[in-house]
Amino acid sequence: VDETTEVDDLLALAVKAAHAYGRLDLAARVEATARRRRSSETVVLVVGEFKQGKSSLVNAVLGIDVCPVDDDLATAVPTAVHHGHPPAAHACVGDEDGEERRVPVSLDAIAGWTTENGDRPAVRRVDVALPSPLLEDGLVLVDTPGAGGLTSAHLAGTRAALMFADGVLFVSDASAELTETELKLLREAASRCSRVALVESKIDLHPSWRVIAELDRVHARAAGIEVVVVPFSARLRGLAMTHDDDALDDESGAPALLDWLLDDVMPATHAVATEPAAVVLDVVAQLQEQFEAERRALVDERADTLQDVHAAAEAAQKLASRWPQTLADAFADFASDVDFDLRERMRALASTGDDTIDRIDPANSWGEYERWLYAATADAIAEHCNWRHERLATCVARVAETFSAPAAVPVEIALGADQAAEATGRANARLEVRAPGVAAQGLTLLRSSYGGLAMFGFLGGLTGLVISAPVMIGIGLVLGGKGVKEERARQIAQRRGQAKVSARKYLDEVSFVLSKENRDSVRRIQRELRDHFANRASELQRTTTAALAAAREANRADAAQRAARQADVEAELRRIDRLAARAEALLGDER
Amino acid sequence: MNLLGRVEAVVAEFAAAYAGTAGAHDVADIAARLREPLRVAIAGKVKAGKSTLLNALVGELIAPTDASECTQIVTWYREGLRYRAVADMCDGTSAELRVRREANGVECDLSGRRVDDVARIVVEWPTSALRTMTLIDTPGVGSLSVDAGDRVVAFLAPEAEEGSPVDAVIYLTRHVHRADVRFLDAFHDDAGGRASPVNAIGVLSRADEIGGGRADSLASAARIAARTREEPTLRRLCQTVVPVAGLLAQGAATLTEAEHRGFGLLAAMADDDADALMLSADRFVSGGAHVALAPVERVHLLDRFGLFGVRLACALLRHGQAASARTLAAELRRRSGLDDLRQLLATRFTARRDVLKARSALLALTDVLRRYPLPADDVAALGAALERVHAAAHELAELRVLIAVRAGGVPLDADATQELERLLGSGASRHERLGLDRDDPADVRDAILEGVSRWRARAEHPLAPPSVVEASQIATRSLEGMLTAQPE
Repeated sequence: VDETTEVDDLLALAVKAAHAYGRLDLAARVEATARRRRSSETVVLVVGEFKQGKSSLVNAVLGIDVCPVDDDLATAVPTAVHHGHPPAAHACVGDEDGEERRVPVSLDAIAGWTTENGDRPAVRRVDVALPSPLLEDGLVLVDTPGAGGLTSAHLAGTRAALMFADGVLFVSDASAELTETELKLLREAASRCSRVALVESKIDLHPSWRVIAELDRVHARAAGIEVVVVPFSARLRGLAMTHDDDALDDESGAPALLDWLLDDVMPATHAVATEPAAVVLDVVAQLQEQFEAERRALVDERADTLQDVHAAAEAAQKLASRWPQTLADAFADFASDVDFDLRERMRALASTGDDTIDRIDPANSWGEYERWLYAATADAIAEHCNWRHERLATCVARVAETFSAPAAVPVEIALGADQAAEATGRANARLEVRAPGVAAQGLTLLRSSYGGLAMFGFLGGLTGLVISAPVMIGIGLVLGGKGVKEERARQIAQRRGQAKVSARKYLDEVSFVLSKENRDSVRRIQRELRDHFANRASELQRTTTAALAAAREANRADAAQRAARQADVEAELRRIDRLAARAEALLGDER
Repeated sequence: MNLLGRVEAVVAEFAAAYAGTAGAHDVADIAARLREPLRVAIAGKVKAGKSTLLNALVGELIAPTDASECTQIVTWYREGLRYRAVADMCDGTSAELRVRREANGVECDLSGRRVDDVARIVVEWPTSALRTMTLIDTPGVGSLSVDAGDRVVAFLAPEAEEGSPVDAVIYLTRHVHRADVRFLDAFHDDAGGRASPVNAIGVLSRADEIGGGRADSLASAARIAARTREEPTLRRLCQTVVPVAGLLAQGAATLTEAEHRGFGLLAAMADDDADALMLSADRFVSGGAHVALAPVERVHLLDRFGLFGVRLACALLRHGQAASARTLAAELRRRSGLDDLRQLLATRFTARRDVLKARSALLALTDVLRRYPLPADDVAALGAALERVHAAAHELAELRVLIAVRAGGVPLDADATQELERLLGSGASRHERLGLDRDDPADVRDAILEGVSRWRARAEHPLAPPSVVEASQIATRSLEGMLTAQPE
């Protein structure tokens, strides 16, 4: 928590400094970072099997019935609840072109949009804004569809979103121990997200919940998963809120659950100092360059110092101009790799599917096969999305690297090779800092436009796709007799052929939707990164121009003026160095 | 000769042909099985409540139950003259086990034998509840870690109609979602052997836990079961799905006077106090120093009936609906769904036990013929004998058509499908098979005649596919059979 205030202080100081030195562009960047930090959302996914009480948990935690709860109907669409005033709900709906529209939904009518009988296949996600004090600091609770329904592409979305989640509440009721499948999903959640709590729900109903919780703890440990186990009863929590009964609230387990959310998950996301520290360091480095160039010119009267700075500025420009090309190249590679990966996965799936069909008679087992195909496709999609994200990170790093190296060059040239080793060392350190700094910022940008909740959205586009049942020809009633045998074999072959066609058709449609989404998101991300890097480029341009101007000014000044100015500049540099040291300390902590 | 007699004759032919060969033992088993009660397996996933339901059906606490996974060995419960248990080992030997009767069931002492080495345990128990059917408790299948693709293949192995050690299956599942990929798996269990929709019933177990144990949980469960019943994929697996609150049923079937008195003390409490006490399981056990019932007694009631059962029993007592232990037991049993399940077992299984047993025996004989080689002449002769029984047994033809109908293999419209299923599959009285409200001889006769002409027309329709023609012919014959059997 101390680190959180330190980060806030540092950002405020950097804004002040940038303003003081007339660099409004740099100030704007730091302010934007601070703003993003304040509004950063802590996304907590509520996952688990069907009918374990996920929606009830969200309602009980918030103290308001927002997620529909039904004995039979299950949640089919993820519902994200965040802070907002006035209370409102929107359904994110995909239209025919795959674009997303936001449809206002009345708060009492959410059930019609999120439960399975809603018969609105195109709903991707429902966003609910509530003026709940719990959500004020950016906590977002996402109620997800039950994990058993692998038929739904939403599960693929949930699994992909796990990677972007800041916390996961895994809900399993206290009526029985964790099942194999639950354990599998729990393991996946724990491997993708570092903060996972296992919620033992419905403890009001099950007398032996302590035994079950202990068994689950043992199971989890045996599977190598370290999780916090939180017993919880939505019903008791509801009653406690209604009657304002603190003792009952304690029994419901809600305080422990809230503590976990507010003390373990929230600070963890807010304390992530990598991006702010990197931004501050980057800004500081540019200010340093400016003053360093001026100081060199003040100390050294030789005219070629000015020439050095001039040359450095030109070199910087030339080198920096390389980035658009690198960006274009990196994204062309990225797009083609993503496309290849998708094709490859779908091809493997289709071939496994064909092998399976060859071993069964679709007349008996089409339903079972269909379910397998849905599940396997969802797996493949989730894997593809994860792979795509990792690939994108390397792509961003590549551009950032090319981009940041020349930016630090002027300092080195200005100092000259034979200059103080101490100064060179500092410059090199700065160089190292900048590349991850720019990349970290790039990735943060992506997170907001590409990760977390957005992942639910685009995968929702797949939910409308269904496998069309193959036409099954004559299942003969005649089970005995010899003449029928060949006819049966022929029919089976024909049915297998048709089943394969149906499967291929489905996979083709999935590929089509996914590759369109891939193309769109590659274009969108490329645009965003281009803007991001263009801004960095113009900042650097200003820095080198300012450095040049300052150096010229220094050259023209007389001895007395120089001495006075030199003291000033050195004082400023010391101030900036202190700022840099603080930012570096933060960055060091993160590492 | 009736169907069972004809099957016995074929078994005798087999016994003669296989005398002195490796297959003789199997044939002897088949012969013995025809004289035994119907074998009904209780199958389902881990923690579905199989042992609890078995106890409820028997009306005694014989199968052990626990909060964690409990049943590990397939255990047969059959009627016997005295209490005894025999372990059949995997290596073919048998050993009598020491039996200890514990509070929560019969503990069989394996005396150091490894669980993996025991093929099954047969418990003999002197109770009339096991006279009409032998119940088989199975370990739950919980491992779903098998690769999905393998599961598909294993699930639908090409030999769907192979011999099975059981004649009928009760599939137990907790509330499983329809969209769940494992929806069918939940009803299916390899340990129980393969079944077809004619000899399987689905049970939505732990019905009292649906909706978090609210007062209307059972009504909710009934609604869910009704919906599940209509699920096309499920229709090819079992006849119907009914909800049962297993713990409540077991408690009701074994309710003691002392327990009734305990409920009486709780019901006598003031409404507010009682509500506060029954708020949660924890409070029920530890709360309220002024409660007349000792905490240890409360723990006992909670273990036996669950929080839902305790609440329900107290409500019934308070409303004067359960003055004696007997009336309370009857009411709890009725609400738990146990009575309905028993009724269902009586009409669907017990009333048709000859057909089901004949079917099992014929499938087993076919299996024997395939596995144990004989001279070609003998094989042909025995095959022909099997064929003859099959061809002559209209009951078996009915079953065959029913399976095809439920698997969706007979393209009839919805009304005709329903009519056919009722006619061939309800196994109840004549008027029910005809869809009439009561057994009025004149109405029945009219309905039969009308049905015969309708189904005959379907059979003779020039565009009817072969499956519809055969189904219609079978339906016509069934109706004609009912007509001749009708007492005028």
